[in-house]
Amino acid sequence: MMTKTPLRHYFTDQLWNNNQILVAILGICSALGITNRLEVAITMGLSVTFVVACSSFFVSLLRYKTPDSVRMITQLAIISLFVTIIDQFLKAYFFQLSKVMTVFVGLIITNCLVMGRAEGMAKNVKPLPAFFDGLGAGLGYMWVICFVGIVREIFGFGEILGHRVIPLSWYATAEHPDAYANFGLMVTPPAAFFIVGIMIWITNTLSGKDS
Amino acid sequence: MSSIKKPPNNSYTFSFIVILSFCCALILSLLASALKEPQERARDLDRSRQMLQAAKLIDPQGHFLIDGEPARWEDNRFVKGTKEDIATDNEVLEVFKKRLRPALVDETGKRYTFEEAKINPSEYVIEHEKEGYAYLDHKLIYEILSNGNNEVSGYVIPVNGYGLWDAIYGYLAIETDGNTIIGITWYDQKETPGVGAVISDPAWQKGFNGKKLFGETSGVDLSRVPVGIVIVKGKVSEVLGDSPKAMSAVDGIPGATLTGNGVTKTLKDILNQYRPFLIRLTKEGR
Repeated sequence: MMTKTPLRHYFTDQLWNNNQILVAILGICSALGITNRLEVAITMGLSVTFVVACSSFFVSLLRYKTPDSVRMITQLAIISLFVTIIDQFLKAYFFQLSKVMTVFVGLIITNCLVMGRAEGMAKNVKPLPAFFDGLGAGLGYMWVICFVGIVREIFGFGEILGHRVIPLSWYATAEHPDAYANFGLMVTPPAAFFIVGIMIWITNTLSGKDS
Repeated sequence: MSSIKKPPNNSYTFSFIVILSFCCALILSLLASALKEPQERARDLDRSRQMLQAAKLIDPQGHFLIDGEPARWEDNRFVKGTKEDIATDNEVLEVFKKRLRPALVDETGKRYTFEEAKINPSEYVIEHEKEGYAYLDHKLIYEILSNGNNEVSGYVIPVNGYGLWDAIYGYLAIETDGNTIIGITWYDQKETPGVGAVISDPAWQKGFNGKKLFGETSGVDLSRVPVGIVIVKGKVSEVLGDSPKAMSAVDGIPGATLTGNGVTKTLKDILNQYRPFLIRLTKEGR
């Protein structure tokens, strides 16, 4: 970061060019684990965005004060502070969602992309760029898992956000056993593995990395 | 960056970490105390909903029910409603208070009120929620009151035990014959997401509706017959066919045999504690 980069560049770069899931291949675990419903994917995306943006900001704020030997511990303490905040908040105001998300909220602490941003960007730049970098990374992560969530919910349940999109009359019944049926694989994590894999392939082709 | 890091200084590093930990701890404890009330309210609301769901007074989509048909809460009773009438949080809490009445039973199966036992219900419920109520001298039950009058139309028994990984907690609603299941819900579990966690899915819980705890009761000595309710491995129709045991068997969850075994054991253990009470009910029912 020797040359001066405009603030918005930090933000847009993370959304597409350096997307954490599609380019850096980070944060895959939760992308596979809890994307079978769009609602859960949105909540997870927002939670991660909040945690990355805020923790990047504070890591950057403390970057001259932090002794190098305890750098990682400091980052982890800041990250876990925000994860706990979001976890408590969900339990208080979105109880049903927090029941569905179970351990995955707590596991944001170990999501590589959060620490990756703190270590790779935030500790080297000023607080504001760090914040926008984190915001972009989180939202970049969010749009990818939301896309996976939409695909999985349509084909796995025939619904979007709990509203039916594939009409029930299309479904196979005793009289028409050859009609449409939900794609059972889509409900399970391996489906996300295939979808994310195909998305990474497409991004690589588009950016010309795939030779 | 042009900044030159200070040479490592142990006391500086040490005090930095202490201050950082202190700040984090302070923020979190302030937050925890500020959010305690809404969290407890959310948890209570969920428990109330789950118990009403087991008793078939509300469906998972949030409609109150009269005999399975959507209803509305008006003037302290359910009236016929439409699919558009979704229960609000306050209505759920109110219905929970009005239609479910906590009571106690002892080891002989005698039923009595909290006032008769001189116990404060809310303190009692909170104090024993972790270890469950089945092994206490005063065991907790909830009486389901009929719509509009205070006749008891069923009972809810809190059940708890162990699944595959950790403790599971639920509510089992039974009819006044002491044998037929109205419904069941599991409100707290830490089973494998997508596999064992299916026990909290209303679609699977539906499999319990109408099943018998003891199978056929007429002419049977209920103090000896084992609790029959069981989660089978696979589908009931394939495993048991038309045998009388199918009356007490529920379809297993694919890939979650051990969670299923845990649920079976939980129900057996808890119902054995409540057995004198259930025997009394079957006698009264005849």
